[in-house]
Amino acid sequence: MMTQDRDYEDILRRALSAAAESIEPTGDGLQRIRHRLDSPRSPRSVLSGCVEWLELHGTRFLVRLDPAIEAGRAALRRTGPLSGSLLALSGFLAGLFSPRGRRRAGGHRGPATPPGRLGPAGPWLKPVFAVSAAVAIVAVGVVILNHETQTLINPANSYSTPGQGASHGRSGTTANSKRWKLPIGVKPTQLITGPAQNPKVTSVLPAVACTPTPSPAATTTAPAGGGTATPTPTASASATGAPTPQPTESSLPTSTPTASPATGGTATATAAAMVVPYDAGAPAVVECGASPQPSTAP
Amino acid sequence: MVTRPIDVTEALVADTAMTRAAVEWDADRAVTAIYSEHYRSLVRLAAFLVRDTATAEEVVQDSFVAMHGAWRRLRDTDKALSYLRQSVVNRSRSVLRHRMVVDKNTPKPPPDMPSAEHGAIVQLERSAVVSALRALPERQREALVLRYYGDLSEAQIASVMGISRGAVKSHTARAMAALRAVLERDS
Repeated sequence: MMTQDRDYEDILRRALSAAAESIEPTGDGLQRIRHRLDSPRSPRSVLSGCVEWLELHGTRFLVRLDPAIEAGRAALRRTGPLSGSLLALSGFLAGLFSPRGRRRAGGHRGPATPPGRLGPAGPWLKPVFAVSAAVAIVAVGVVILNHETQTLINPANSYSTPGQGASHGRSGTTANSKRWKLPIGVKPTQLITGPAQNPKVTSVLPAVACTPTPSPAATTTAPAGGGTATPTPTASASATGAPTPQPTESSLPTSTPTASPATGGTATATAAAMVVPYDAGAPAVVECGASPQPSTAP
Repeated sequence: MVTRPIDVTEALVADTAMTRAAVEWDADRAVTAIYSEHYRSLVRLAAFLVRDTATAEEVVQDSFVAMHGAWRRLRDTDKALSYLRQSVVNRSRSVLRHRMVVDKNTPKPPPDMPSAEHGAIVQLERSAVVSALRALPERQREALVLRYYGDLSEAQIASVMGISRGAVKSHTARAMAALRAVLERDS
């Protein structure tokens, strides 16, 4: 069997040599090669060269950007539901342009490579996609980082808790009220109506305590004998220095503050307490009926 | 004596230009040297694969042009020869693939009008072995031609064909079995 195989091998070798002897190439092969080398490159070959260069360097660029892309993806994950589609897109693009994906498409088999998933336009679409995806990812990352940085550096954009406000050396409520922004979800009317109607507001407003002062207005805030008691508890209670007014049997409790002279001091105190923007220089304790004077210390 | 200060950038540019010129000169010399030594055998190898001498010459010339462009990477005659063989095999595959598509979509010429390739094919088919070789699948034919005409080792064939050595053995054994069956039947 082995001898027979060797016989066939010899037969094949001799036959191939004999057949090859009959094949004689033309003598101007070298001239043709030189002519091809010297002739200017066709636009198509120039284009394909550019595409190859872009593909190569786009891939290198993406490989170098890989840590940044991962960081951006992590940041996108932290941002929440907005990032879902962006994550999916970045994952798809990363899979499309990764070396493994290219190897799957048969890119390592020499010059005759089959077109990938993008079809015949793939060779020049891929680098374009790669560069645009990289730019988009970097832009999204920069925007997110910028937003986060602004939020961290400039707390005036968000509502500050007591003790965090910064004094800019300007006094008066007008200057402060320009800088003061309401937190999201809190309407100005909720602030004015007071904590009796919106208990949530008490948690965000600065704590203002009224000390009892022997002013005439305070004396007039005693519950009138008419029985129209107003449940504006904090200011009236502290202003009068008396216990919290309990509505009498005949009184009808109303939730709106009355404009009667008996409760005038109460209304003033409440409004003053609500309008005062909190500032580091502002006094923590404001007298009822007195306008707050933030300190002008530098 | 006034000495001109050496500009590093200028020196680098000059160095790069000289290197480029040297590489091109090397590439030209390599093309000439390899052409004189291996062109004919490469054309014959390609002719066995594409079954047409004119196309085989074009394939080999394209491979030489590609080798000239890739000389900066190769810089070695052995590597260049291996590159040329691989390029010839790959380009022959492309030619066959293209020819298959063309044959599928064009009407066949009438029998009294032989095609231009007819003469070359008749020359190759004088031998029964060669005609049996033509009937083999593409990969098996490549393996046999590289093994028994190119006298390449299994490792070299594997490198040229882009497959493993085991696959080379398998292709060669199957091709030999098929060839033997055809030759025994004919005899």
